[in-house]
Parts: sequence; C-alpha cells; structure tokens
Amino acid sequence: MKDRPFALLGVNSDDLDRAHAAVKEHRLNWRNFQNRPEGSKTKISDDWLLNGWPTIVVLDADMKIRYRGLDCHEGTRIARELVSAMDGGPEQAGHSDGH
Amino acid sequence: MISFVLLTGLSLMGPVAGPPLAPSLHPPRQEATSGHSQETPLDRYERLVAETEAANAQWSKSLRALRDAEKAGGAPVPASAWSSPLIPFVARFQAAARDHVGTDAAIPFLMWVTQNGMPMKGAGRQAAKDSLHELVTAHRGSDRLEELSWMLGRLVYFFGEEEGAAIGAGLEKDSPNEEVRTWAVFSRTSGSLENAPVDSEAFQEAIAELRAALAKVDMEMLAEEVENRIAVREKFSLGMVAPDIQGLDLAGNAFALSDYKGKVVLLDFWGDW
Repeated sequence: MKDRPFALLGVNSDDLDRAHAAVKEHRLNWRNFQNRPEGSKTKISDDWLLNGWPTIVVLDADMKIRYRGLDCHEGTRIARELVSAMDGGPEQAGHSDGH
Repeated sequence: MISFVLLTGLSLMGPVAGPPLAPSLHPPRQEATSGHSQETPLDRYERLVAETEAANAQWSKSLRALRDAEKAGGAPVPASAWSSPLIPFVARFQAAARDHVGTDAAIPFLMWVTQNGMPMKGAGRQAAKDSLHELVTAHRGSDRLEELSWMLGRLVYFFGEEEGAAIGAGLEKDSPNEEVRTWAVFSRTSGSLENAPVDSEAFQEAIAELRAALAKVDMEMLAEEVENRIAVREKFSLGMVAPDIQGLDLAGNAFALSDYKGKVVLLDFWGDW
C-alpha cells in the first residue's frame, strides 16, 4: 500500500543472525523491532502480554487498537478498511506492500 | 518475497493444544463382552490399547524408514504415510463404548475416543465430540472428567451457546470434582471475559467468579491463563491506545512505534521458525 497512510512493522523473536538471514532469504522490506535487543532485560512480547505467535495487532492513526489476534487475514482486512476510510478511496488491488 | 500468509500462518499456541493420550484409569471388571467370550470390559480396553501401541510403534518405524530413504535421495514421504495409525481404532473404541452404554464401563472407551479423536479431522473429530458430549452429560458425575481438562473449558465452542451453557450448569451442579466444576465456571464466564467491555458489570462479575473458583483449587496453569487474559483485556482491548514501543531495528537503529502515529499500523509479531 505504497503512498497510502499505512505501515507494516514487525517484532522479530529470532536472534539477530537468524533474523538477518530470514530478511535476506524472504526479501522482507519492512522495518522490524528486535523483540529483545542484546543487553535488554525485557521483551516487547512480554510487555505486550503475547500468548501466541504469530500475533497481529492493527492500530489506527491514533494508535488505538483495532485488532489483536492470530488471524492474519482478519488483521489485514481491518487494516485495509482503516486505510481506505482514511484516504477516502476504495482499496487498490495489487498495490500491497509486502502482503 | 515471502507472503504475509506464509509469514503469519503458523501458530504455536492454537486454541486446541493436544490432550494427553491414553487414560490412566480402567473400567471395572464386569460382564463378558462379545467376540471374546471371557473378556471383561477391562480386558477389552487393555487389549485395544495394546493394539494401538503396537500400531503406533509400527507406524513410527515405517515413517522413520521412509524419511531416511527420502534423505538418502529417494522418493518424498507420501502424505498418506503421516496419517495417524489411531484412526481405524476410533470405531472400535466407539463400539466398545456402545456395548456398555449408560454404565461406568463405557467411560474409559469414551475417554479414549475423546482424547485421541480430538486432534484428528473429519470423522475422528466428530466421534471425539460425540464421546465428549456423552461424558459430560450421561457421566457428568464421574471423577474422571478431570482428565478432559481444557475441553471442559470450551463447552460453548464444542456444543454451541445454549447447549454448552446447559452442560456446564450440569457439571457445576453435579460433578463431585472441584477441578471439573472450576473448568465449568471458566467455560461459562469465558464469553464475558473475552467480549464484555472492561468497565462493564459482566466483565467484573466474570473476573470475581473465576478468581473465587480458582482460589479453591490448585490449578496453576488455568489461574495464570485467566490472569493473563484479564491483563490483556485491561491493557489491550479494542479501542485502547497501544503502549509505545521504543526499540531497535535489526540494524541496531533506535525507533519507536509512535513514529508512525498518523498512519494505520499492522504490527506483526513473528519469527523464522
């Protein structure tokens, strides 16, 4: 969804070497947080009370939670609806960025 | 590029974790059963279980051989080779349960079908649901229902809202087992726990009931799950503002979730498993 008010972000649970290898192998082009950077005592996934992997969270423009769950299709659907509502146009098929 | 579906299609903690396999208790020694004139229900149960163990061992051996052959450059392991060797036994345990319908002797056979059929698809899973239904209705006073654990917490999921609620009420009223009654409370209140607004009376009542029920029993895992669910609802319910993340990207550069305020964000917690 290039040029639209949307960002796909990741929180990656792997060690850095593995994460880099996965990004390279799968040509991932979105930005990822390290779940627990070296030296950190806490994990983002613990702060976010995750009870399953992978988990999808969709936030609106005000950072309000609009979806949280394990269903990537439902999360994607809600994100697309929110983006369409924001820019006032229908979803543009074939313009997904990394989906 | 990896598809989003591929990236996010696997769940390590689905709603149906695998139950333990064979039940540990046995039916009482009673009347003889058909086919083996001197065979008691206990004999029959033990014979069937022994057959499942032999079939499992043979299946593991065959599968190992096929996998070794594949690694050595041979043909890929056919999909049919992964099929559970327990599938043909479901009907046999069901038949044994029917032979003792309405008596305690049926319980171990029903337990076997419930626990082993639930991870299956199609007929096996349906048989498991049917057996679970018989256990939680006709045998709801049995102490052995405790072994069904998580299934008792999902009665509404298995049997629908109305019947699931009625079955749960029966267990809460009639089961002599505190853990079974606690699972029934969990089943009854989980809808409010998951869906009622956090500031609603229904949500607060559900929490109070669950905590009161869990205070009476030593069910640490369920207590942790309940507290986690409560915390998730109180912090991450729909409409709540997400907490910011101040972190590092994979290159070590600092960035924040709030950098993207003003955009719709799809945040994917993932790993390369």
